[in-house]
Amino acid sequence: MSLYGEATRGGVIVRVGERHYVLAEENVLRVVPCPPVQRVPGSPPELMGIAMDGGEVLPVLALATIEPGAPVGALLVCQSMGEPLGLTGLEVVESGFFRPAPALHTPGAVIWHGEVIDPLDLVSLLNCVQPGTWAGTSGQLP
Amino acid sequence: MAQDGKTRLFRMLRRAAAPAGRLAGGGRGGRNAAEENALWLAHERAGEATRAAAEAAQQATTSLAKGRSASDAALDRARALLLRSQEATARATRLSEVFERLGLVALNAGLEGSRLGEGAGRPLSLLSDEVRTHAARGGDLSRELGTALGELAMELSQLQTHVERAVEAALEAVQATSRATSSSSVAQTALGEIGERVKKTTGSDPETARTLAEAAEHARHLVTSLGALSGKAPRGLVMASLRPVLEPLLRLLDDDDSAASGDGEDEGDTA
Repeated sequence: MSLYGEATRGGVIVRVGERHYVLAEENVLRVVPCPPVQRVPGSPPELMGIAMDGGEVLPVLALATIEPGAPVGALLVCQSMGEPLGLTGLEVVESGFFRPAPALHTPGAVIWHGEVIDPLDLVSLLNCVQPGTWAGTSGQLP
Repeated sequence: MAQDGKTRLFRMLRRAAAPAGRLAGGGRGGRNAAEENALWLAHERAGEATRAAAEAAQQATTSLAKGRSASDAALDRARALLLRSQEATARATRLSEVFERLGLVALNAGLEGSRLGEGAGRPLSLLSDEVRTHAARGGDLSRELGTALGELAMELSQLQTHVERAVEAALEAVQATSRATSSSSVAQTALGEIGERVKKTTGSDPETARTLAEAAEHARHLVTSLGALSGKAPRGLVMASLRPVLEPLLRLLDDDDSAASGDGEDEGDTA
């Protein structure tokens, strides 16, 4: 319960460029230093490559352009519909409990420092890396 | 003898009373003695100057060698300091990475706390926030430290460059002073040769030339004084005063006159 007596929502706030997004705690597995990412020839540009984490191979998406040679930062290991996914090119700002946004906002949105934070659409992102959906899919953030 | 001495004395007086120019300047012999003396004096000054130059060059070489030694030591220290500052910069970078890892650990702790629910997970979430705050602060400070150490490394690199240039300049100076020492040595040798050749050419040496020049100068003064006395003092008084002093000179001149009358005018013969 929050100070306002309403149920809070667990999750992670991330920053991509100038915007903030929230990911629900059930979709976020962990935050780790980004391991070496191996580029997959012929893959879409949104797919940075694949990486090993905890003995598991997962696809890695870069949510923002990473300059060649620049530090990659942290890797947010997520899951959507049972599929693992690594997200980089972002900054994990905070984790914990957040007050849900009023119902008129996007489902899953929260209030953070007085600002409404929309959820990150993991389903769309996951579709970017699924084979057969690469053609004609821009994979842009909502 | 006394009459001969008297005759010679007054002959000298008459010559002294003669118009200036024939004897007042000392004649060709007097000028030669003065010129030879001046030549030997110049030779002596040149010799002293080259010796002084050689000593100064040697002292400069010694001082430069000491300075070079100090510069080499300073260069070694500068290189060691640069290496240490680069190592410290690398350590500051690793420290920053450690704080970043700590921040990730705190995030994961907060995430796990959120999975436990509001009741059980809140303390863990609060702890996560606290740790993240301190980790972020530590990371910022270590990055500032790394930046400062990087700037220090740059300054030390410039210091190393300056010291290297000073060492090079000192080396060039040592080489120059060595050349100066060598040149002074050659000059001293050449002056020695000049002295020998002047001796052979003029038949004189520095001591003799100096003594002859002094004698010629005294003789000029004597003749001038005698000329001033001519016609002013009684002859007897002049003779009585000067005879004891001039008799050795008269004997000397007598020998010279005898030789001159036998062989004709022959200046430059040793008395």
